[in-house]
Amino acid sequence: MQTTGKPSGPGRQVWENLSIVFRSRVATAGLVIILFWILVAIFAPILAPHDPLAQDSSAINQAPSRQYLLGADNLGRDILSRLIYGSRTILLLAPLSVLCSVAVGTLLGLIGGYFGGLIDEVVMRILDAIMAFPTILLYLIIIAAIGPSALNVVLAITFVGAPGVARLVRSLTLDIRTRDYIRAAETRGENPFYIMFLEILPNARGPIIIDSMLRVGYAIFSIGTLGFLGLGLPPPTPDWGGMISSARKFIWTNPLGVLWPALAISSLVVALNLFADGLREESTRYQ
Amino acid sequence: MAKYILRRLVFMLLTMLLVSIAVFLISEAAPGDVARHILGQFASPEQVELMREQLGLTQPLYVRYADWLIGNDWRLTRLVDMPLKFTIIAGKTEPQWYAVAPDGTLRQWRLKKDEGLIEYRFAQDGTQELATVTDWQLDEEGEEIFWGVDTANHVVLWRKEGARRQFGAAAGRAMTEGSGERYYPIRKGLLRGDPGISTRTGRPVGPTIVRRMRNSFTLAAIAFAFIMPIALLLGLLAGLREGSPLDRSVSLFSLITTSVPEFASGVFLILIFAFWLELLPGAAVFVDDIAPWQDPKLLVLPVLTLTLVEIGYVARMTRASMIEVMNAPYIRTAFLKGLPYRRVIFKHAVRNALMAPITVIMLHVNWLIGGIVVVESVFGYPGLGMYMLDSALFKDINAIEAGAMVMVALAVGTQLVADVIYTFLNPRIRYT
Repeated sequence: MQTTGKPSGPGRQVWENLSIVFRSRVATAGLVIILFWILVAIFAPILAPHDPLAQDSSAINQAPSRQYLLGADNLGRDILSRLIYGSRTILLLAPLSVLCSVAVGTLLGLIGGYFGGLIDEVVMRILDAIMAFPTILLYLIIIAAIGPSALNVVLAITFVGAPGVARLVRSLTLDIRTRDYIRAAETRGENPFYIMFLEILPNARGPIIIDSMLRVGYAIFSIGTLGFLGLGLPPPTPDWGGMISSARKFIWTNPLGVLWPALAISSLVVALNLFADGLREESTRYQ
Repeated sequence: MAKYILRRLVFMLLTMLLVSIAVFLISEAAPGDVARHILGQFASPEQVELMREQLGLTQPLYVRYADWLIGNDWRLTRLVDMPLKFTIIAGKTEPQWYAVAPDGTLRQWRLKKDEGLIEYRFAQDGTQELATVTDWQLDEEGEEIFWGVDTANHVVLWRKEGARRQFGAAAGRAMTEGSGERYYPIRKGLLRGDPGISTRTGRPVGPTIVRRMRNSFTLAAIAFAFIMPIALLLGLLAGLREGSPLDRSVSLFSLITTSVPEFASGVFLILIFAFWLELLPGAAVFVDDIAPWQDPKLLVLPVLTLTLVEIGYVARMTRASMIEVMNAPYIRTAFLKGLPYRRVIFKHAVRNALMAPITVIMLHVNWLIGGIVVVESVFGYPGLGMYMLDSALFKDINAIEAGAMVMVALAVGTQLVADVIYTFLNPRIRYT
């Protein structure tokens, strides 16, 4: 047992990473905003002054008042409460879809990189084709075909994101495959899946984790865009992108109705990017 | 090199073919019915069934795909027993399909409620003759039938007795009085230059998509004319003095502007310039079919939004490339051998530093297409993106397919162009 003040083991690694973040003011600012939204999402039921779905026909498109602090939307729903609950939607869906795309991408990348040959060629050509064409087109076709819902948003983002992950994991696998411990495992006669998941994957986890963190920002961006295009969550669910798209029609009577959700999603995406960028910059500087 | 380009072109066509098949399959698997979409909630099941047939939806998937790709007029000619011709005749506004009779007249047929099947004969000079059909043919069961071309580009089988007497919609537009037994929409096929008819608007997809593309290209071209010089300059200056206050502020600014989603920055700009300052229109709704550059005021905010979103990306690329070049040994050599600062920067650094961003930007076109779709949607700008979005929400398969083909050709094509340009900029790279 260590008696020094600093935590040991994995805790220490986390601490070192965090101290890198705090060295950069920009990354710290990003982290603070992210934490703010996470807390808002967790304590949504306590923080929200109203039911996000409750409609008040006397408050349609109302400007901010003491009752509705940020105003009310076109159905007389409290914008503040919808913003607060909207953070839950996006903070749940974004990591979930990143997790799915990382899982699918990792599997494909491991298989392609480890087995090589024809399997690799086929998998990579298909993924190249998917990556070659416009993301927005994929979203449009997928969502238009299967209809907007939370599950479909996750599916669409997984589909679009997985090829990138697969490429990364494949290149990592190609490198790790040549190491001695892999050859040792192969000589022992281990199952290829044992080697892929218990020998290669743990040694490739660093870049994969960093890549996934960058992907969360992009996923939030995409979920917002899908919501705005009417391809996101079905209407009553509070969803920032969807809120902007419905408030956009009433921008002349209720300009604040569109401003708040736009600020919310911008702050979250910017914060995530500031955090990731600061982390990257500081960690390369001190290497 | 030529071989490489050829191979890439083949790959591009293959990708387009695969995408078109995938889009067909996905929209086939999708729930919801186009015919129901067109006719609305209150159509009877019989009407929907008739509509499906008129749209050609009752045929097997592979037949429909083949029709879409290479057309079916050559196949349907056999049924009508006359050559089919897609042409515009004097006095009509749109080209249509006609059967060419042996005497050279163009013919169409129409079933009228009390008069039976009427034959329209159009001579080359535009004169028109009407006649009642008398030459019915006998089918295997001895019933009188007639294969002809109707006025809405279908090959139709009419039956003399017991014709289905109900109202149906032809191509989503007109209501017809009676209907035939079987319908085959006549198509020329994409490969022969006909992307079909939009089920959403009932109009040919081709001309619409060309007009929409023109609008989108205008938007993108103007935005790029702003983005490139500003972003390259900012990137070069920032990269030249890594860590300076200018570098820090350019990096922060570009990080923020690229992170903010297009719809949010669009909304901010509308609020600032259209709502609070009342300087500019907040939407780009075009009256009539005027070209976008005829009313530049409408273009300002969409262009500004696109510029804001893209400028940071290009600036960051340029900055990174400039930093890399400035740390390269040959730059140090140039300094050490006593070349003037100005000369080192302009002759050695900038030229090499611009290489990467220019090609990377070409690869960025995928992202740009997405940005344009969103910007068009924010401002109601009638471009290709809006057309695709509306079509996708309506399940307008012909329009989706045509738009998808354009987008894929653009995305894959620009990548090819980027690779080729790169070999010219960097002679060390050779593709074989």
